[in-house]
Amino acid sequence: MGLRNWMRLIGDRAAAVALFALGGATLLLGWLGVSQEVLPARQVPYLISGGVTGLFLLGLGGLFWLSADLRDEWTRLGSIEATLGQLAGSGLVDEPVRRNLAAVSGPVGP
Amino acid sequence: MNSAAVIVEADPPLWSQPDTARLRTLVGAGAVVLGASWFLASGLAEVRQQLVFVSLSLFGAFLGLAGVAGWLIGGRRTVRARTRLLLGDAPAAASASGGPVADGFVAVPDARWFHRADCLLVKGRDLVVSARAAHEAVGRRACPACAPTPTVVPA
Repeated sequence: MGLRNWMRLIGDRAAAVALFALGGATLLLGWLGVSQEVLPARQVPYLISGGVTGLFLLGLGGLFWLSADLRDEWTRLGSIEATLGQLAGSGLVDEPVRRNLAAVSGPVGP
Repeated sequence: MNSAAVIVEADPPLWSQPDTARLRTLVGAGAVVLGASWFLASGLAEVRQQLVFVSLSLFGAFLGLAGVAGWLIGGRRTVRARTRLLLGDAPAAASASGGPVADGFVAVPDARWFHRADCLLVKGRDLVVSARAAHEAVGRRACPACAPTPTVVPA
């Protein structure tokens, strides 16, 4: 895996953890805000800024975490493609895969 | 240039620019709706009037998370398509018992090579699990890439 991909994966996961923490903190602050207000009309803004926004941030954290997983898988597929490409000329790779490789990467051997 | 040479370019991006733009738009719009809902709800004194903005904030969150879901589903679809292209259409089914047996090697049906169970060349493919002798009896040869020897997969 190249340095660029590694940095991107680390960045995605770091962002995910930060968003999870921020979402959790927002939920907690929302709960604290609501619990300190007596009037329902003053609790509702906390419900929006703390509750709904906290859930939104947790969802964004999930986005970064899962997209890091997908990028990881994508990078592995890139390695497989490169490996298959290198082996294409050796007769190790079956014909259908060689055809697919040729479609995505160019000619892959005799 | 050697005829066996392979053009392996840098990995293409997993998500296209329109995908990224769509995600940013939906998440941004969701965040704006959320912020506006909070701002408008905090200026009202009646709960009944505020409920509209609570609903609006939920809509904003839904909008943003729908963008997130679309982004992830699109990415998953792209990964599946590339997997299918490289590894074939067959679903991952190692054997009738649910996985490669410890004393066996795996091969794709009708293929010429048998592999270790963890060989990248067979990952995600429909596999036949047999002992080395059984593979050799039907004319399969050991994959030089993963070098399936009895010392690698204990008998």
